[in-house]
Amino acid sequence: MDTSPATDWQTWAAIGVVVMTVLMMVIRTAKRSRKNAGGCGKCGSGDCH
Amino acid sequence: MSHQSVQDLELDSLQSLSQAQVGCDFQIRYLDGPACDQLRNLGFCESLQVRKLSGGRNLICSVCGTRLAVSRELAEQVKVTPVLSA
Amino acid sequence: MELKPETVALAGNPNAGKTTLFNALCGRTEKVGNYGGVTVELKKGEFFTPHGRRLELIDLPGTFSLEGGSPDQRIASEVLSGKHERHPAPDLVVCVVDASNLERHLQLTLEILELGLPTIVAVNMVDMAEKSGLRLDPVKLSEELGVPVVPIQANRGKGITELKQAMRHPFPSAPELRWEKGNAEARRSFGLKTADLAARRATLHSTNLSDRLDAVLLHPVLGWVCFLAIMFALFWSIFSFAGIPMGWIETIQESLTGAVEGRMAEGDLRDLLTQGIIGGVGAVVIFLPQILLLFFFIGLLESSGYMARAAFLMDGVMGRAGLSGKAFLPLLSSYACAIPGVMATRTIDSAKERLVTIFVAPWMSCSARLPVYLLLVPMLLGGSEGGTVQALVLLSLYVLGTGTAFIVARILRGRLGPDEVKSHFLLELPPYRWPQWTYIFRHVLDRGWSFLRKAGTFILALMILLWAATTYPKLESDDPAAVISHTIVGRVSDFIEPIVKPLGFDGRTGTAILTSFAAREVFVGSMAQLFRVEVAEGEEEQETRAHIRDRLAAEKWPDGSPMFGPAAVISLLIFYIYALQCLPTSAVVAREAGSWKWAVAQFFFMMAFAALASLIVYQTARLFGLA
Repeated sequence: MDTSPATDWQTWAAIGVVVMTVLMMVIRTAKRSRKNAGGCGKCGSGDCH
Repeated sequence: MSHQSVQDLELDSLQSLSQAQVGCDFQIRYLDGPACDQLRNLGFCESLQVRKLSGGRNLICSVCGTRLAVSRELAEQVKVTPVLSA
Repeated sequence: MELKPETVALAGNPNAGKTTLFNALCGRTEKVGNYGGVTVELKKGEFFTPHGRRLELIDLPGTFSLEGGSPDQRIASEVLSGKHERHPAPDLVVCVVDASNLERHLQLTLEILELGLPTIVAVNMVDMAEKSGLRLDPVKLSEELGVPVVPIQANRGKGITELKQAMRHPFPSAPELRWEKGNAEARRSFGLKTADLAARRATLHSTNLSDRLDAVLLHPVLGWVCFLAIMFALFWSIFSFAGIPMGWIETIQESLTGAVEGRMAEGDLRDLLTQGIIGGVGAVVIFLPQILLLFFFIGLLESSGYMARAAFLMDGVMGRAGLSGKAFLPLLSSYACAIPGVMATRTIDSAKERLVTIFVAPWMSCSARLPVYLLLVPMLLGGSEGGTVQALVLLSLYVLGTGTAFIVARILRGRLGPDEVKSHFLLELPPYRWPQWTYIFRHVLDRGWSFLRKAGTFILALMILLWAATTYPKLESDDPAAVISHTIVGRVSDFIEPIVKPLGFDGRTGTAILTSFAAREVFVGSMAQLFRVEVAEGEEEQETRAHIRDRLAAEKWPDGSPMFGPAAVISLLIFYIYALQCLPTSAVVAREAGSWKWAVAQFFFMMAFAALASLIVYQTARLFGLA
């Protein structure tokens, strides 16, 4: 690819962030389902916690 | 009419809370109906005084200083006699 | 080895102040309100006695009696009688009674004494009772009942130390009963006699401030005028007051974007930071002031005692929907969030009425829909924000959701058939109280914090993923349309466009709707990203929301007609009123209704209803030339 080095590292960093996000989400979901602690973690607007 | 005894008068004036006049004080004589335990738990006990504050579909009355809103069917089960103000 | 701490249970009639005492003892901020039935499940906390002993405190839902009642009341009686599956009977019971209502509240205390558990009586709200002219004699009460009696004023922390002192070891033994055990009649007359001895009322019925307020607020005509005025003031202030702090958040957001753009070379990471994170999350966070305001007003209504009056007024309307005024309280709290609303249905006696209330509760527009409404409503009315007309439109969105909920409730209630045991409308109207400001502010801060936490974790993650989906796979081309249709989102939106087009949306709006199934607020952030709203430098005077709106207003269909004309905006609003896009709600519905079927049926019904309503509205509006 004929992109500049700056763009290149940014691309890799961005992909890294995205992959990390996916990993974090997977881990958190797995933890929550193991604890079986209801679905309130996502509800930011309720009195359900 | 002038021959009626005091007891008769009292029986005559026995009415359900739903028929009772708004703004007056009454004494609860007895409860009669399927929900009377529920009513007793809420404070509608025999011998207590109750004031009817408003009528309508649900009526508001005050028992022992607490305002309660009860439905007409429930009020039907509370039998009261007026308290004569001195 | 540390011993398991002994448990103390707080029991008492609804609205006796158990949770206020719980908060005072454990230093917590559990939800309290000036009406019965706020606590519907067990709450546990810990505290230390002055002697340094750790005790576990259980806050029970309020109940009038240990027999029968609604699901929340049954929990209380199960725990006290040791029949609860997860909790053994407590080691000590603290009976919380309202000093002004001894005649009524002592009945439960006597029932608990019959259980033979060590008991302490906490007479709450003594200050208020004494102000109203009641003469209380705690010593006499203690002598008559045979258990320690501690006068307290829980919301001011008065008597809390004395109460903790009273919980020292050994716990007071259960007293000898002075009435025939199990004889309800004997118990009742003993209770009345004791109350009469221990508390002397100055006058039986004196007209106080609460009576005078009720004369207006519960008036058949004036009451409704006040109710509507209060509701309107609520929505109007959401639009007008929130503008100032929203401006601050926007300034921060814009300076952040500027800082990033000034320091980084052009590239993917910079796009991710500015468009994905600052743009996407910022579009959601901007609504924080409005959500705080909504919670503030609901807190005000709850702690002043107006909630019970609103339920009383609404009983007539609710009756036409086959529900009772009791169902109005859970529905009203669903305006904040459907989850506590669904939980609050436990206060409803009738099982069928409870199911119907759970079913329609998500149609009460919750605070997560507020950002969506606030983005779209001004688009209908020429773009600028604030003003009476927009507040009215917003109010009417809430009324529309509520009204449809009532109609569906009525149909459903008819199909479920009558109850086996007829239940009646019964509601305690607590005296009005000055709101507990410290509690309200802490509660509002709690909610604000959890909204921010959600924005910083869950919504942030979604925004990052959405940014990736709108960027990759990349196509080296100069045509922006070709670039976007090459990405994942481009492909998804091409796929769903034919499905959502009859509703008046294009593929990107359809994709934004899809993302909001994770959480409704995400819609705003998704729209900001999908229509690539860039907060460019030197545009600081331009508001971000107005920016999103301008961008949307400028969007055109390929044939040149505007994409977000009135018909499409109304159709979107209608969709968001009715669609059930909240997985946590479905999970709670499944638990409370006792079956997944109910939750699944609710989900599909609401989706179908939302899509159909949108379709009809859009197509009708187009016929009238509103496209």
